[in-house]
Amino acid sequence: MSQFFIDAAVNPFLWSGLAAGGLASVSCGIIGPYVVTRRLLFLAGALAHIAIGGVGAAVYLSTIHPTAFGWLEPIHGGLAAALVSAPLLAVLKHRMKERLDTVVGALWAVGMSVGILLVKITPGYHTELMSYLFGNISFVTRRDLVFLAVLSAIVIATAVLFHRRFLALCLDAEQAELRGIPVLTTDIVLFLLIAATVIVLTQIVGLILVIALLSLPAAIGARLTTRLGPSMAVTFVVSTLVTTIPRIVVYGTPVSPEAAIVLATAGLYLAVVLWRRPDGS
Amino acid sequence: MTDAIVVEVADLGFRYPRQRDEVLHGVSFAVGAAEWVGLLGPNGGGKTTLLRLLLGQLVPRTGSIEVLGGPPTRMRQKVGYVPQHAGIDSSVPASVEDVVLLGRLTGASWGPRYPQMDRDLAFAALEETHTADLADRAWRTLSGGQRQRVLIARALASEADLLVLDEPTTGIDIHREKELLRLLEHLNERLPILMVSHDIALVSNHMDRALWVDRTVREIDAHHLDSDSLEHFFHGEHS
Repeated sequence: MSQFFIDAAVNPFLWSGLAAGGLASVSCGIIGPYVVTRRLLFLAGALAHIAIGGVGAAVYLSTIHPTAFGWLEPIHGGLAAALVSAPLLAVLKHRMKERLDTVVGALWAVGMSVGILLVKITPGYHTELMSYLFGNISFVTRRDLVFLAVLSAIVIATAVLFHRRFLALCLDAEQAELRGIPVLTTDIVLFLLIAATVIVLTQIVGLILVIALLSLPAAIGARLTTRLGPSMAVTFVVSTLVTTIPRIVVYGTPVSPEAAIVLATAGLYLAVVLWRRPDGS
Repeated sequence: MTDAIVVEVADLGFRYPRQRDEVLHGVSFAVGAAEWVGLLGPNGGGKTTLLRLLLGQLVPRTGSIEVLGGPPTRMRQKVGYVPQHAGIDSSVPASVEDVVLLGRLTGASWGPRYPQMDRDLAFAALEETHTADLADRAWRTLSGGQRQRVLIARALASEADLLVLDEPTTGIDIHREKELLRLLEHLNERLPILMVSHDIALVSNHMDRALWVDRTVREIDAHHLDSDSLEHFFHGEHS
């Protein structure tokens, strides 16, 4: 563990990895509880996997047309794909009472397939897809950090503005509608924030493991509190701890930091479930 | 309290998309401002559909509905609706106050916190339903009877001019049911109430009028309602 701090003195990537974890924890702390209480985890998983299609498109375009798209980073493609598909998934959730899981599952698989296909037909050797699938917390650049900070700021500002509406949807969507809240529009905004958060978390644990970070800290928060606000605070603290401590502990070992983060989160959730029942006893 | 009409339904017809038969046909009735009216009828008779039409969640195919002097879609924020089963997930970390504050939500609600005035109105509604001591309790820890009272508090917090309840006594014990009915009697001193119920004794003992909903609506004298008279309605011998 001490090796991490010794190396951190000369390796700025170690600090930027921790900073990325902190930024992701803020988004995770705010959006995770909405996802868990509104039971949107499957749809959030679909967003993450559809984003892989965007990653593939960005890799393809920036390689084939470097003059026009040389500036395009894979994460930009992932974000664009997630943001475009977020309203679509929100509309599907409202319109399709039956077979929603089938359609969303198909979109999930198609997005991922498109991403793999585009990377495969792109000339040259590309490791981008692997780093977006499994995360790359060890090599977060200053530019990545700025991108994550901007996304996190947008998520926070929008969530603060919409909090009462999101809470109403989480509690009782029918009552919210009767009280004059446009439920579909509000859900579309929430889905856009989930899409942005998924992309932020991708940098930490990768798209495949993003669901764990989006759900488990929030589930811990829900177990330990009786209101959504405090639940968000607990989710933020848990997310910060699990994106920091495992990263430092496994440093210098063959264990992948991304896997360590998810396993530590799952272990913490299990401990809380065993310690505390849902009624707070 | 006046004799003004708060609900006026005239020749209402409704059928769901892709269905040939009407769920409701030729429905006409009115509810006065001082009344407590029961809605009775067989399962599938159209009671829930009628409630959804009154709340503006469905649009009539024919006829007209006026609630509190306007169309349901415009007036539904003045209608306090208490569903049979609260659509509130028990796993949601929410306090009783959070639930009641939903009654203060409007299309102009922005930002993270409700204003103090909304919180005061929510607390007053909790006091009126004798649940103020539950304000900070987690919703998931409440009993069925407590939940119904809190949902009534939520309806009152909206400063409703009409209460619409869908089988509020379902699943609660006789003691809690008596408490709930006393509360509704008290509220009926200032609010008209429209309430779906399957309990003949409840309707007969507490309500002014009852409406039999079975594709159409027929008036029943609530005070002379018993299982024999209801049997006639079930078998369509009501003409």
